[in-house]
Parts: sequence; C-alpha cells; structure tokens
Amino acid sequence: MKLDVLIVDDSATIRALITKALRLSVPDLGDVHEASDGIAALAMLADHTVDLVLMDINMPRLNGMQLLKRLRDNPKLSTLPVVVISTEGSQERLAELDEFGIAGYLRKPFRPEQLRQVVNQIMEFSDDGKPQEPDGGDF
Amino acid sequence: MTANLKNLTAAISEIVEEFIMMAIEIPEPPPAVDVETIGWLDFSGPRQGRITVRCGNALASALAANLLGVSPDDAEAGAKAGDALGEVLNVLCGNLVTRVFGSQQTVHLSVPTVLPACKAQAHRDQPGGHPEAVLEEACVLTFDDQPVEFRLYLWPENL
Repeated sequence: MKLDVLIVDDSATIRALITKALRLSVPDLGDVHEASDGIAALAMLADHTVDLVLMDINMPRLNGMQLLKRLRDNPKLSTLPVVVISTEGSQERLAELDEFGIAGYLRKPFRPEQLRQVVNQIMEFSDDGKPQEPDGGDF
Repeated sequence: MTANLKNLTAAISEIVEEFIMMAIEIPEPPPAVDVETIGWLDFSGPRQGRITVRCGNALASALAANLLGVSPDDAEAGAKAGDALGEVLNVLCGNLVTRVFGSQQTVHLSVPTVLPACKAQAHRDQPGGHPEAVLEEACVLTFDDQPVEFRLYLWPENL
C-alpha cells in the first residue's frame, strides 16, 4: 500500500527537505502533498485523502495547534495520524500536543533516520529486523 | 562573555553544524558584513524580544543550497534563499529560548520575516521591534568564511 502524505509547513525549504527525507526513508511512498499553513492544509484535505500529516506549529493564518483542533473536531479527519515537526521545546506545549493525540513529535533540526523511525512506527512498516543504516544527512 | 552571548553563539553553532552543515567561526576582529538581506523573528514568554540576522545574498543562497542538497548556483537555492534564512532563524530562536528560559517555560515565536535590506524600512526605523528595545547582544560569525551578524534585542519587562 502506498503511503500518501501531507506536509504542512510555511517554509518551502522545509517542505522540500521533508519530502527528500521521506523519499529516502519510505519505500512505499505515494503522493506527497504540500500546504503552507493550516488553511491550505484543510483545503487540501477536503480534496485529497492522505494516510499521514506532518505539520509545523508556527505558521501564519491558521497555526499547527489550531489545525490540530480542527482535525480532531472533524469526524472524517479526527483519527488521521499527525506528526508534529517543530522548534517547540516547552513541556507545556508538548503536553498540549499529547492531549490532541498526536502520533509523533520531531524537534527541528531532525535527522532523516528519526523521521523514518517515526513513520515506520505509525504505519507499522517492517524493517525486517535489520539495523537502520544512517544516511548521513542532518535536517 | 555574558551568559546570553554564550547561549546565542552556542545555539548558532549547534544549528549551523547540525542543521546546515557549514563551518562556523567567530573571527577576531569581526569582519564587515555585506548587509543585503535582513531577517527577524519576535519571541514572547518570560521576556519578549527579537532576534535579527543580517547577511549577504550569497550566504542566504548558500544556506538554501546546503539545506536542499543542491549547488549554490542552482536556481532553486536562489529562489529559496530568503525562505531558508527565515527557517534557520526559526530553528535558532527555538533552540535559544529553550537554552535561556528552560523547557518549563512556554515561549511563542512569530513567523520569521526576511526582506532585502533595501526594502526593510520597518527594520531600519525600529531594528529591535519595539521603541524601548535594548540591544542585549550582537555577534558576527562566519559560515564557510561568509560573514553574518546576529543580534538579540530584549523589550521592557513590564510589557
């Protein structure tokens, strides 16, 4: 099964970085959609079905916390797995994210293998018991 | 070196070495910065303030190139130079505020603003982002031998 992903980040550079990391990490990657803020993400999700959302918190118009609330309040999207990729480091904010039932959290900067681990855990992909090879890059 | 300057340079070093993978130095005396691009980001938490960055266009393009894994001459690096500088500022500020205030404190970050220096009128009028902003620290470093200046402004405590 192909994994379709939505990346929500106001930085085009970060969206490109995450896409690159996904292509290195996820063998069955399907469509990768991009949105630059929460409003654009909701519009994208109205038109496309995805298996996973990777989102930033600090974004204009509708930020990541507001987007999470909208997703959880929407019966069609309430169980959609969300991984937050952000600079946020406060315990209070991480507790808030936990309350929203996020599937994972990565703090920027992250390494491609960290993204792979989080995605594999969520999508229950098998690594065939082999150790994961670091691919050298830092993000 | 003050605690804030130590935190600022430590955060910059960590981000540049781990995120951008460029060689960082703090040369003495500090070299002149060819200010062609200016970026800033405001934070609010136990204290409010602003972090600014000023550098040449070539360095901004080099940041984008390193992050994207393309040549600095690649059109994509030039197109995403400002965006990349803003994201570096975002990651830097997230790292810095955790160092300064600790992870028990919630600090809100604004969306970074990056503009060509010639268009950054608001920055020239009020570089610290507030009429009573105090320049707390400033440092000039080089990333792969290209100079860049960072400033940390703090706003009055009773805001």
